[in-house]
Amino acid sequence: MTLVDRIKARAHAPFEEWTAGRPLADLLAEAARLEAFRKDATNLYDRVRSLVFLSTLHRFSIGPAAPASALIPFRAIEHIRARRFEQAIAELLAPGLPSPALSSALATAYRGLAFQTLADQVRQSVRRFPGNQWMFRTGHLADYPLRLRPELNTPGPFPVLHEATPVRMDLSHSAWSDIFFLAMDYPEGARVINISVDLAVRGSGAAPRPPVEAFLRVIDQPVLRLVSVDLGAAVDISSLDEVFDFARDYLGLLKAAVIASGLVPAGLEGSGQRLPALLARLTGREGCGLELVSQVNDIPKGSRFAVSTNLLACLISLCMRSTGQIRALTGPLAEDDRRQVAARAILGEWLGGSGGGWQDSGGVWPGIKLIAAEEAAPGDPEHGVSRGRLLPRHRLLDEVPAAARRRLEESLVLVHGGMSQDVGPILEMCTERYLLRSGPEWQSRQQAVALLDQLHDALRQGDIQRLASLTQANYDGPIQSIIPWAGNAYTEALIAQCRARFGDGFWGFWMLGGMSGGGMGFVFSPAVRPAALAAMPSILAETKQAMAASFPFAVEPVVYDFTINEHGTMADLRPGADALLSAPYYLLRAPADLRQEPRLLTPERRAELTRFAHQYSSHTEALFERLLPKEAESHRGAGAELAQLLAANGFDPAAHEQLRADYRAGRVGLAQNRLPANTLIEDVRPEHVATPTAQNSALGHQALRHGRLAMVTMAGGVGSRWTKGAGVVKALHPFHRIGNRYWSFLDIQREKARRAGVPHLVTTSYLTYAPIAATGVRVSAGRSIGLRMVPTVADLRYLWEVLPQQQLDAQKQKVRESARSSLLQWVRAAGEASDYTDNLPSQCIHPVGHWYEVPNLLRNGTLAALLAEQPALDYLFLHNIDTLGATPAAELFGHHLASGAGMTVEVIGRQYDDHGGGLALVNGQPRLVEGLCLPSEQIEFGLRFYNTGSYWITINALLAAFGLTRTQLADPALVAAAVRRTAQRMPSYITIKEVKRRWGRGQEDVFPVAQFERLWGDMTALDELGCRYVEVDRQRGQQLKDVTQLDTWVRDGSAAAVVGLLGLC
Amino acid sequence: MKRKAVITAAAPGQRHILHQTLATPDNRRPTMGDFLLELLADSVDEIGIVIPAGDRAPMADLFAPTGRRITLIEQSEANGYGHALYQARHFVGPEPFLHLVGDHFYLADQGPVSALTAELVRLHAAEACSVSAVLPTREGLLPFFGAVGGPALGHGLYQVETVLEKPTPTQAERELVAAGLRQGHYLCFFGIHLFSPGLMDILDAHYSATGVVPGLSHALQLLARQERYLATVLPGRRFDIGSKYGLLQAQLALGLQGADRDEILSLMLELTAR
Repeated sequence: MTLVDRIKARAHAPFEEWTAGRPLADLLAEAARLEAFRKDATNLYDRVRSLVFLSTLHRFSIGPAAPASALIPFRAIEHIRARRFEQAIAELLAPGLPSPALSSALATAYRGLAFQTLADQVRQSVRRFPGNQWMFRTGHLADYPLRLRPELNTPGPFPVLHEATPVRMDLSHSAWSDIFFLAMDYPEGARVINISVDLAVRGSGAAPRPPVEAFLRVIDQPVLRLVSVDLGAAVDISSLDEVFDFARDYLGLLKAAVIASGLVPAGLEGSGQRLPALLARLTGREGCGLELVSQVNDIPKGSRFAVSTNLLACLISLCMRSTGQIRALTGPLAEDDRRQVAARAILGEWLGGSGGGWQDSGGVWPGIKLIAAEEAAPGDPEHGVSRGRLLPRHRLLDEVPAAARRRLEESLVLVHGGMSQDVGPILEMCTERYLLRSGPEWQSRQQAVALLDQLHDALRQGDIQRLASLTQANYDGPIQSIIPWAGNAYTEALIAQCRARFGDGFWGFWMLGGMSGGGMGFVFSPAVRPAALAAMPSILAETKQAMAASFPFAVEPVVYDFTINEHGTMADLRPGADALLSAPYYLLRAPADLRQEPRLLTPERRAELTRFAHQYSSHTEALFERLLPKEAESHRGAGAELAQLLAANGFDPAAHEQLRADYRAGRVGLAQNRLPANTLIEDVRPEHVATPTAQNSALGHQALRHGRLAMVTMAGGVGSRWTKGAGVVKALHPFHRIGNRYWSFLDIQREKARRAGVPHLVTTSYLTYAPIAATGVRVSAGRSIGLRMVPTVADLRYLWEVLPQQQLDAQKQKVRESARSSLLQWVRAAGEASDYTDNLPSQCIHPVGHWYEVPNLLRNGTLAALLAEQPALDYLFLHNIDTLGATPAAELFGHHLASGAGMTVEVIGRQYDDHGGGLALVNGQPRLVEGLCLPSEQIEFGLRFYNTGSYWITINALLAAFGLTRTQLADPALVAAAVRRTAQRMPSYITIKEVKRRWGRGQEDVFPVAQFERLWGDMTALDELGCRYVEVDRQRGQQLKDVTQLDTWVRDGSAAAVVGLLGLC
Repeated sequence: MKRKAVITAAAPGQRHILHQTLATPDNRRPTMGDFLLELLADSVDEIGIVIPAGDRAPMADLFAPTGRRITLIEQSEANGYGHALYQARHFVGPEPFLHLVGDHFYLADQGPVSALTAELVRLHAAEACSVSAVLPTREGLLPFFGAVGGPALGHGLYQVETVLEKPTPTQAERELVAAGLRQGHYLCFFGIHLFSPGLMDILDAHYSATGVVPGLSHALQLLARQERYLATVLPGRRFDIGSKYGLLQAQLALGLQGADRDEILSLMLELTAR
């Protein structure tokens, strides 16, 4: 049976079984069949499955088996960047000859097209959902069909409509079966049990209440006033364009709600109509507008309760009630209306460029419900396109008795572990594995589906102990078998402590949402729960403290009090004297009013403030605190800490000022990183890159036995790409589980060095030194530090407009562009090239590139000490912490010895994802060249070798390049001068990095910051070092920079190879 | 068989609409009341007009010269459309009756407007059930009309299953689907109905049970559940005189449909060009 036959037969057979052991010719023939089939297929999932098969075939089977010849045509790369996947595929297939490079690009293009096709289908289904279509047709105010309900339109004061919505926690999502794509292709397996809950942070003194609330009222100004109480943001919008500008401020979610609710129909985007005219039509009053307010009650981000989706649903429900699109103005919603709100929430998430599962708006429904996908029937927009409908069916589980619900409340401890991670990559991995029907994962999916029935039964019986053992089994089994990264060492540590402390009284762990580490549940016997509730805060805090350096924690952990909400979303109308919003709203808004002269306040505003003072008199103290903020004091504290850090780490203010002046004047910058246009840059010739042979192995073994080699791991990095700017000691991040143990990058490198019997040194930076030193490894302290700067507008424009960028899906791209225009405003306001200080001190400073990590070995005496201990030491094997396949291999060591080179650089054949320079002939000389300094990106893809960041270094040659001898290493002044002299020969690059700034309850902003770096690869330009180049295989040379690489790393056998290197297989 | 007709003209703010005159080519300047009576033409021989309390004298003056048998029925309080119609229960008795709203101006696509009511009477006779005239109306106008939904029976005839008063497009998309209409168009009331006695029974029963007369759309929803109820697309147009510029639209439509079309178009162009 061919793969095409399998798709046609809807067979659930593992993909890998088919490819195993097939010759390249068979694989290519099947790829051609799949390519023809997917173009003719009318069924969406036939197309998507073919695309995923093609992507997988090329990445894991054809690419590795193909001869290394053809390079990737640059036009294909441009097409992929611009999301023109079909054109890219045509361009890549045109040469007709397979190669690893072409296959890597084909795999990317096919995968991109598969996910684009799926996203397009969801978008189309949402738009075609009955009740949603008209919003896309309304392109003129004359067609605007909504009117505010009269109950809200009585002046003096205008009544306030208030909605409060619980959030949802899911008992099981049957292995992420709530991903739209999965549910629409495999409706029989898409089921979730989720529970609506009210929450309060334990210790806050408050009783559990619906975590999200929203308010709406008419105001006497012709604007759309959007206020987010918890984010402290408010804006008066007077133009339609601004409503559609999502990332301009913190009010994107409210804007998405305004549009998805039809208040401002999507069809009006770019219509040139006037917002005040729309508001006049809506309210029936010239000069009047609307105020829409959102409020999240103290729930940190990353809670896994789908807070943002439920807030969106709450806002949408409120807007729809106010315009009569939902019949009930107050009280709960009817089932049809809940479904409409859920469909609009999906639309809103798409508009806002985010995404979620179809169970996420579960808080709109009351109590405990089973949410199950439905088969598409004739008449449905999905019929004939996908097997399932877009929206699932919710069935309230009335069969779960009240006693069982109470028992659940008496057993479960809900917490936020403090981590806030992007679950997006996990959802993509899950979708891909589902489409491939990978053997073990498919079995795990079936187990998860069966577990849901058992959970349902346990709920019905009120057997919470069994329920907890099932949620634990779900986490230990199907969840981590499908996506190992859903679990982590932090969660395991918490579970182990609960077990150790409470023994049989701890019934089981309950993973909430897509991954663990944030919102989580721990189930205890009711007798033990009070003690567990008391102990959990310290268990969480201590475990977090112990792992603070290795995980990107976003907030302090919290424990919640909770109750099951049996109403779902509810609304009430507050007329007359009761027409007030919440106290936090007035604490946010009133100070501005109170600072004004009373005569400038409208009588309505004055009356409202009087009502507020009367009704919320207990908040007077809080109001005064708002009027007299303590912000200045805390800011001073942070400034002092930063100054201390800079001083302690050898920051050079004079050099910094010189750099700033150069940057401001445009003498350095992204554009200036580039080599002059007249530089001749060509691909190297075969004679420049050697292939190691076994004949030098003996030489290598002998030298290893004689203690002539040390392994040096560069670990100064803070995982910028890995954590999207959050900052973590990447070396210590326990990213992979082997057996029962989580291994960090450092664990793996240490073990390899130990097994090779070579001394191991780890170079660090200011941020990574102390945590890495605490592990007991031999550490070289970082000595160089820089202060980040606000980038220039010119550099940001250059980065976004000149340098190549991967374009996003249309709506996401729109949101990105809107965010960029806000960032440009931030740059102008903060001052170009000014010091970046508005963040935690550790986020304001930066390591100045890994070039310094080797000179630091000389400056801080680490190398001298090692040489003293081991006089036979002549060579260093230098590599990055994340090059997991790198080992002090005898064959390569022998090659270096035999070549007589001062430095041998390991390179790999370039594939699509290998960006950032490579090996080139620069004006006839072979050397590594950084992507930053290439005059055009096209040149990069003409270079067939990519740098792995692994170097074999002859110590004497290195010292000679610095103008030093071994004996001179004992003289710090001499060493410092030598390092300074050599540094001046190295180019400095301005780079733009992303840095996260955290605030509020786990909210995050990502800012671009400018910093300068010197990079070790530029040492290859020093003639006196005598560099040579050697090609290694990808499993050895691949660096793990991004979480999204993990899946491929496991599937292409690299992870297994590392397990082999560690001797664990 | 001659029938009775009920015209509702008691809504607050609409008391002068029946007195409103429109320009015609002969410069006769008939009132809206005249147009309504013309529309009924030969289909009815007795007309009940529901008017606001206290308006009897001016209305009597308006209709006295028509020579028709007019009964003026006062609505004591402005309690809604259903309530207004309910005031005519004794007037119509246990018989089917035509009903027209007093604030609409009607135009047939071709021929006399009386052909529209005649068609409704014919359908009622053939199908033996209530029939409402409807007009496919774009969704932007939904805030002004009641609307119906149900399966198409062919020849512009629909079986009414759902009736909603001034629905939002969200509700309309969900509940008022009718085959054969352009996207974003719904079957909105034309303003002319021929009701079976069942309607008055529903209003009466509801009033007896609750002391309140229900809204007409709600009553029609109940009617659709209890007996066969049809809607038909009539070849004409209606203009809501009570809405913003409704009278102007009606006047323009009337003018443009007549022999002076070119002259009126020229006038409009001249006004536009200034």
